Formats: sequence, structure tokens, C-alpha cells
Amino acid sequence: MIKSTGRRQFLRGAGGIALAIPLLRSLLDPRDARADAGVPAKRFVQFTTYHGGVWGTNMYPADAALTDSMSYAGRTVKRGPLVTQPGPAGTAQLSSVLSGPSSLLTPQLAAKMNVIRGCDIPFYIAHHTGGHLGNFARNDGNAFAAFATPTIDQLMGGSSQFYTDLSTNKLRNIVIGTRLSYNWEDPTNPNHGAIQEVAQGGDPLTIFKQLLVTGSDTPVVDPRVPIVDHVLADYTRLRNSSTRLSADDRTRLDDHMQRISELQRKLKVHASCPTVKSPADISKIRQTDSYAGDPVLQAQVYQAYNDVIVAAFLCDTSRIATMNVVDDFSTQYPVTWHGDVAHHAADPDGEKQKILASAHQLTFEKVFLDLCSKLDIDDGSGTGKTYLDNSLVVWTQESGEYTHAGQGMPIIAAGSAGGYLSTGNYCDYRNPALVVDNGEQGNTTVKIFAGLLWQQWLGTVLQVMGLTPSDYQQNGRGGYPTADKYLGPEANYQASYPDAVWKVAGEVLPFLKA
Amino acid sequence: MTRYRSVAGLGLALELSSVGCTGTITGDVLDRGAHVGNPTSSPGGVGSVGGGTGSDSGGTAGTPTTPGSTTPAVPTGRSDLPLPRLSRDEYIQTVQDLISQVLPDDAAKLLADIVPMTAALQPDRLVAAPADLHGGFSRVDQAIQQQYGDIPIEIATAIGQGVASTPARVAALFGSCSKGGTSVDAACLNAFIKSFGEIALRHPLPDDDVTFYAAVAGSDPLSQTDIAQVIAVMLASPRFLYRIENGDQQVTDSNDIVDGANLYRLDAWQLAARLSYHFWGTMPDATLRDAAKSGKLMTDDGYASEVDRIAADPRAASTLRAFFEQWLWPLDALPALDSRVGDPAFVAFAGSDLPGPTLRDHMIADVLDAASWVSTHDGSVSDLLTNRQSFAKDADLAAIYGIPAWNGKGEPPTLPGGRTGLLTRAAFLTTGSLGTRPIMKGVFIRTTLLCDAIPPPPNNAASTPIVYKPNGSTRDALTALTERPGTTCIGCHGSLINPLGFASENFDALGRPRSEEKFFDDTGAPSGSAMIDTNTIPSVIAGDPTSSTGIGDVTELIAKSGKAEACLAGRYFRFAFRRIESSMDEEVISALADVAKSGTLADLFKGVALRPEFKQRVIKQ
Repeated sequence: MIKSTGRRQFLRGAGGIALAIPLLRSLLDPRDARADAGVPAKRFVQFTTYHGGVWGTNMYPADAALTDSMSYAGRTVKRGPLVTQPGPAGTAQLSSVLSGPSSLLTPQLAAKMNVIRGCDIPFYIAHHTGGHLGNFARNDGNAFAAFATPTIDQLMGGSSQFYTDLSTNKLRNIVIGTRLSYNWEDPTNPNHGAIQEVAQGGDPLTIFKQLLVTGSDTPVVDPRVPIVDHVLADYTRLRNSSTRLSADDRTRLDDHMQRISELQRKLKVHASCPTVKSPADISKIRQTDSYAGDPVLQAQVYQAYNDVIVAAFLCDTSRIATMNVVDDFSTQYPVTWHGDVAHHAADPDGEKQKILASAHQLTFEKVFLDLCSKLDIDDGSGTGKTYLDNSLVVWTQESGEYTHAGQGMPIIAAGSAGGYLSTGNYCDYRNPALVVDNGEQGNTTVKIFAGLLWQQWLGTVLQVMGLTPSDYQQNGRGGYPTADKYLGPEANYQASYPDAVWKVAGEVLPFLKA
Repeated sequence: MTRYRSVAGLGLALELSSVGCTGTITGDVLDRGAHVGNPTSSPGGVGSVGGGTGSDSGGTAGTPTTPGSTTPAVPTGRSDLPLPRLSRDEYIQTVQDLISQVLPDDAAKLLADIVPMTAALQPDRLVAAPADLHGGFSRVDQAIQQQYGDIPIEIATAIGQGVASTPARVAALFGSCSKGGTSVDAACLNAFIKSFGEIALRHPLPDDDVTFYAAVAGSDPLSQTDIAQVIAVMLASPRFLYRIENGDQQVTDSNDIVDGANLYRLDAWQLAARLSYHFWGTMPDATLRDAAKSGKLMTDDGYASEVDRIAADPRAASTLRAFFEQWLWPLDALPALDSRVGDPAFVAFAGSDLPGPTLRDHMIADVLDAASWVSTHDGSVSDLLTNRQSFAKDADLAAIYGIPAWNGKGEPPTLPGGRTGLLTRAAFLTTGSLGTRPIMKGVFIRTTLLCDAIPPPPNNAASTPIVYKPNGSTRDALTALTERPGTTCIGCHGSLINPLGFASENFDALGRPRSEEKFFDDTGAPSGSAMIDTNTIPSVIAGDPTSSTGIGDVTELIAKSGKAEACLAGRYFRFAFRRIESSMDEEVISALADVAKSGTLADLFKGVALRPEFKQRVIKQ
């Protein structure tokens, strides 16, 4: 699939490596017609970062920006418009972290963003990578290791409501990094096999090769096509044979056969973007001696991944990407960031908080803003909408205002997902009457108040992306995940998350429905 | 003025502070506990797959022992790994070895095209028990990923095309019936499928398999494409990527740990494959195949002699090296050591030992070379702990050790007096910063060498500030933070963690011996120093009041305790059987521990193959 993308779109949207030259409509593959005529496809991207610990005064716009309010779930929730303010040296800012060059963080882009404060994982989770996308079990030994759940990106990837058309899809989910995305061993068959990490990884070039065919607009028959049917038959033959196999053996054969079926599907896809050039090999950058303390090099890496995501979205070979951003984007304390910065971010003198906030600002600018600006290009549908308009791009952090705190993990989002979401909002769902933490490390100025549930945020995302609650809700509870174990096991937390917040967990978060 | 000092480990200190330590110290290998540590030490980052713990443990394994949990394990009967998948590395090695065996004269050229394709296979993850935060073995990752649906077929297709592309290769594979590789008829094809299948699919093929693969080709005369496709389908077979272990004879289970009729003896070919993949990480060689074919492998003497041969093969040493590297997880977690070379304080601290980009690898190699040396020189677990030979082959690490580099020949030199063994090798002391990490050192020893449980930290673990006093040591700061009387912190830190970590504080963050802890300001100027104190009560065995003057005493106590042998046996079980143990595996792990206590490392590594469990499989239909 090739989108009818203009010169400006390519120059801006491709980030310099993905799409080399402008396309003329006359050169486009005939299959492009579908993109112009149909309902805009939604796309989802989520970046995740470690630690968090950024104080609200650094992370969010000023409280005065919260100009509207309403009663919701036993509290007053607030919102206000996202308005950029001029910053120093040609920058614009929504807050000290949410700032960047005014050429990127434009008022128009701010109007397409949402900044959400006060969505909580309602139990002590501390270090985790699973909370971001809904597998709370993936944490460092604090809770529920045995109760894994698929992550929302995988639920989307397997959903016919999200992927209404797979005719150009080469990869349902782009997974960059590890310990982030989880699904059943057979993604099409819940409760089949174990829930396992979806391991993909690879450098941008490796991922690119899975997504895009370069250099020709003539469909090439993959040499695997005649082989795959025989291989599947071989697996089927073994699975159904009288050979003595255990029930678990047969289950694993079933699960592998599903993978072959998925390959069969992908091999029938003849999506091609003849003008797409392979990304540069950036693998050596990460091996550079100074990489750990060099935000410039780190930006090159993540922006190369962004370019691959953009290329995949523009060519419609994938619509979902998740990326675990593990570098710190700071020149200070490489290799000892965890101990020397993250766990000192609450020191009352604010010295390490300043370093932490600065690093998060760079992450916002070099990763989040970079992708948003590359996606904010005309989608060629004639509606004036951009790819970003039809997407939901999210950045979440491991913790809220204190490292280890699962309350108030910041949600920075962009895109309305095809008009489903209201945008341009700064939302605050916290209830100041419910104090979770009066301050840590001698810092009495940063208090944590209970918000709404992270499950409600995840359920909101799933609804935004086209899934219906009955697809993912169980046990009569709203949001995602809904396993009994995730209700908040500790007595003091039950007080922070009363019935009122659980009753609304299946709803779209307030202020966000367009 | 900033005082650069030993703060690198304090993040972990915070994670563990205030912990209500209910863990117990026992010698029971089945009572091991969680590894609590720094999650950023092995970040699941961009560009990599591997590292970290998932919620899955790779295959069903009966009832987990729920390490570190208060939930008792409930025996449910032993379960073996279902449908073992070759690991990523095993798959790649098997492809290379197969081509080398069947096309000895042309393998290099074909492999030059094939091997680069394997780079698309991302590494398997390091899988540990669910509660473990560190370590794990890639073999235990049995997850079925899409890449295993995609890439083996791509590689098999390429191999088929590569073989069929030249008459010489066809002739080499099909033999004289191919008329110099120019013409293959049905009879020739069937003969090839039988002979090639026995090697590639590691088992003689029954007739229906031969018929199936032959049907992939068209009718006579076979085209180049036909030949390529037959080979491709065979190499993408489930029998290639997986080990099909359906057994041959039912075995009576005298211990009632396996339900009734579910225990089977592996047949000779299945046993041959289990041996070769365990010890070599690749397919059986011709000798092993012959032993399977002749029945020798199913005799006690024949089996024992093959185990001896296989274990003595250099490929077994490579596999063991991988085991050590994954078991001793601080090696994998060791950060880049040259990240702070632009920091004036670090430059002043390092002095003439300023790390270059290769020092990290040299430190890791030192540990692995030592482990290999001990393993191949009839050394025991105790010898591994106390070996004091230097395997530093490069000047940078040798300078840190204060001795000349070893040229790799003859007897390695002896480390200077203060270095008492494994725990004083630089890789276990170095942090990449100015500060030591005594808590990480303690957690490693407690959880990985002793297999004791440390529960996770409490909710308010990060709520207490660290207070430094002028000229106070890292130990002083950590003690003040984590061993305050009346707090729950002291429960774990006071007895389980800190004493083990403080014992080697007479080495700095580059692994150099020191008599005082030096501090530098942000310009690199000296800003003070603190006295070193390595005296502790390490409690290697719970309640043992024996005091220690330093890491040498701690090492000796560990060596005498027998706990390291038991712990190693448990970890080796996971490596050998590719799954997390259940309570039903206690007997075999205990037996392995006994071997480790009374014999050598080689005895332990070989001994697992002599256990009946290695030659059997539970098949619950």
C-alpha cells in the first residue's frame, strides 16, 4: 500500500530516512484507492519510560490552567485547555517537561494533545514494565506475578474491530524493546498456552525489513509461499497423528500452527512502498563508548525507530507500535541513574529533580514530539486530516511523582483517534481529600492524592481504538484488566479507591469523549 | 560542593529499605527466594530481546515452588517440558552443523549466504523463576514467538534453493543416483529423504514421513525447484525446530511422583538428541547417531561411555561457559565501565586505571575463564569459590590486579593476597561509577550463591532520605539508612544483605584494593576519605554467630556451608531440564547437590545425564 503523500509530507514525515523522494499519484499502486475512499484507519503508538518521579510542578501545566470542573465518581474532576507559552530560546512549553522548539510544539499540535493527571495503579507496584499496557503482573516482585494478562496493544492487534482490514498489513504489532507487550501463546485463542512476552525487538533496519518492501512496485512472490502450505500440513499431520504426544505437546503444536497461519496471511500481502529507502544502520550508535551519557546519540536511535513507525503507518503495513525507551536522555549519571537520580528525585533540595525533569523534557522533545510532528501530515484522504489526527500516540512513565509510586503515572497523548477523542485538554482526576502519600524523603511539598483507576485509562484506550467493552471486560468490572487480583489488595488502598471509582471504570475518562 | 562517593548502590538500598524481612535462611534448594534488585541493571531495551523476568516461566512445570512466597507448593505430579523447542542459538548452530556435515566441501560458501539470515532471529529471553529479579537461562525461554513461525521457513527455503542451485551440491546430497546432480528420480529422492531425514530430523523416518516429503516434489524428472522445496519443507518440519520426545517404553514410577501410565523411556534417537542439545547445544554427531542406531546408547555401559565422550568434547565446555555466564548474573548486568570517562571526579578516582571500552569484557572473561579452568581441572564448587588464579590476559585488568597479564599458556599467575577467590574478581566489585554497591553484592551472594529468599521491599521503601556525614563511609551511610533499630529494614539488611556486601568493601568501584574510601569533588580534587570496615557477622547459615573479618572469611564460610553446592545444583537443574523446578523435582536436585558436594564440577555437569529423569519423559495425554 502506498499512500498519496505529498512532497512536504515526505520531507517532514519521513524524518530523512524512510521515504526518499516525493511520489506522484500516477506512480502509486492501484491498491491505494482504498485509502482514499474509506474510513480513516486508526493507529496506536505508546512510548514508555522508566522511573518517572517527576514532580507535578515540572510535569504539568499550572493548576490555574484547570478552568473547568465537574462532579465525577465522588470527586471534582477538572480540565483546562492546553495552551503553549513562549519559553526561552525559541521554545514553547506547556510545562517545564512538556516543552520543545516552538517549530515542533506549536499551538496547533498542543490542541491535538491531552495531558492527563491522576490515573492510578491502585496497589503498590513499584518497578514495573507491565503496568503501562495492562499486564500488572510484570513488576519486580511486588505483586501478582502469577496473574498475567495480555496487554492492550495485543488486544488491539488481534481485534477485527481495530484491524478491519489486513490486506496491507505485514505486522500487526511493532514491539520495540522488551518486557512491555504480552499475549497468549496463541494470540487468536485466549487461554491457550501461557501468557508470554511478545518478543520482537531488533534494530530499526531489522524491523523495517519485516514491514516494508523497497525498490520495486511490482509484487514479488515470496519464495516461501509454496513451502508454507506443506509445512503447515506437516505440523497438522504430526499434531493429529497417533504418535504418542502429551496434551501439552499438542497445544504447542496448535500454537505454532497459528504462527504459520499468520505467516500465510502475511505472505499474501503485497504491500510495497517503492520509494521507501531502508533506514541507516544505527546499531553502531548504541555501541559508541559515550552512548549512555549522550542524549544526541540516543535521540538518533529513537528517531530512527520513529521513522520506521511513520513509514509503516504511511504505507499501512502496521498500525500499532509500542516502544520501551530505556535511555535516560541525560549527560549526567549514566549507568547509575537509578540510584543516583531516580531515587533522589524527591530530595527536598530539588537538585536531582532538576536533572530528572530535564531528562524527561528531552525524552518528550526527541521522542514524543518527534513522532507527533512526523505523523502530523496530511493523510491524503482529502479531509484535511493528518495521520496524527487518526492516531493515538501515548507516552507513559513508570511512576508518578515519586519513583515507585504507581499513582498518577503521567499520560501524555496526542491525536484524536479519528475524532473519537476530544483533544487540547489538561485533565486532573485527583481527589485532594484522599491522600495516598504525604511526602517522601523529607519532601513535604509533593503529596500524592488518589485519582481514578489506571484500568479506566486502559479501557478508555481500547474503546478509543474501536474495541467494545465486552471484548475485554470480565468479572462484571469495567476497564482493563479486570482480574480480581487487581482490585487493590491493601486495606489502606481500598480507602483511596472506593466503590465510586470502580463503578465508572468502564467509562471513557471524563472530558475525553469528543 | 558535591561530594562524589559511593552512592551507586543506594537505589537498591531504597528498594530494600524498610522491608519487613520475613525470609528465612535455609539450605534447602527448593526454598530459594526472590532476587531483589535494580530493574535497570538489565533493562528490556530497544534493540534487544532478552533479559528480565516475565510472568511466564517457559513451559508448564508442575507446581512451582513459589520461591519467596508464603504460599506452599502443592504437589501435583511431575510434569516435563512440553514439546521442547530448540533455543535460538541451538537452531542456528544446528543449521550450521547440518550443512557442514552433509556438504563438507561446500558448506562455507552456502553458509555465507545462510548465516546472515539468522541475525533476524532475536535472542531468547533469560527466564528465571517468577519471583526472581535477576538471572535466568535462555534455554528456559520456550515461548513460541512469531519469529519462529517466520524465520525458520525463510531459512529452510534459502537452504533448499542454495542446495538445488548447483549439480555439485545435489550430487553431494543425493549421491550417485543423481547422476552427478543432474537428474533425480523418485527412487533417488526417497533414498535421499531417508538418509537426510535421519540426520536432519534426528530420527529414522517412518515410511509415511518419507511419502509425505516425497509428495512435495512433482513427478519425474524432478526439477531444481522440486528438490529445493523438498529440502525446505524437511528443514521447516516440526521435527527440526522441536524435539519430538514420544518415548518408546512405559516406565514404572516407583516413587509415585508421576501419574500412573504417563512415564516413558526415551528411545535411542530421542536420547541422543537430548544429550547433544544439553551438552553441545546442537544436533548429534555421527558417532552419537551410530550409538543410537546400533542400540549401544540404550545399554548402561554404552550410554555411560557416550556421556563421557560428549562431556569431554570442547563443545560441552562452551555450553558450560554459557551456563556460568547466565547463572552469575552480575556479569550480564555489568554496565559499560567507560561511561564516565569525561567526569573529572571519575577521572581522578580512576587515575591510571581509567577504563577503556574493553575492560568490561576483560573482567567478564576473567570470571568465565576461571570457571572453565576449575571445571576442566577437576575442581569442585569450593574450588570455584576459592580459586585465586588470574585469567587477566590484558594489561588493563592485569593492572587492576597488580600482576602481569597471563599469556594464556601454562599455569595462570596467582592473584595478590587480598583476593580470596570468586567474589574478589573485579567483575563482582566494579560498578562503572565511583561508588561500590555493597547491597547489590550482598543480594547476589545471598540469592544466587546461597539461594536464600529475600522478600520484596515495602511500599515506603523510597521514603527515607540518605544522609551522608563528612568523611563517613558508604557502609556508614547504608547502615544508617537500612539498619536503624526499630525499623523493619534491619530485618533483611541487617542479617541477610549488608554483612555479605560490606565484607568486600576493601575493594573500590574498579575492583582495586583499598585501605580507605576516598572522595572527590566535582572538579576531581580530593575532598576527604573514610575508614574501611569489613568486619561482619555474615550469617551464611541462619543464626550462625560466626564473625568475619572480610570477604575471605565469607568465602570460606560459604565453601564450608554446603549451600553453594545445593544452590548450584538447583540452578543447573533449570539449565539442564529447561524449566523451573517443582516440588516434585526435589529428589533429583538433592541428588545433584550430593554429587556437587562430594565430587567435582565436572561430576555435577555430567551427573545430570546419568539420572533416570534425564532419560525419561512424562507424557500426559
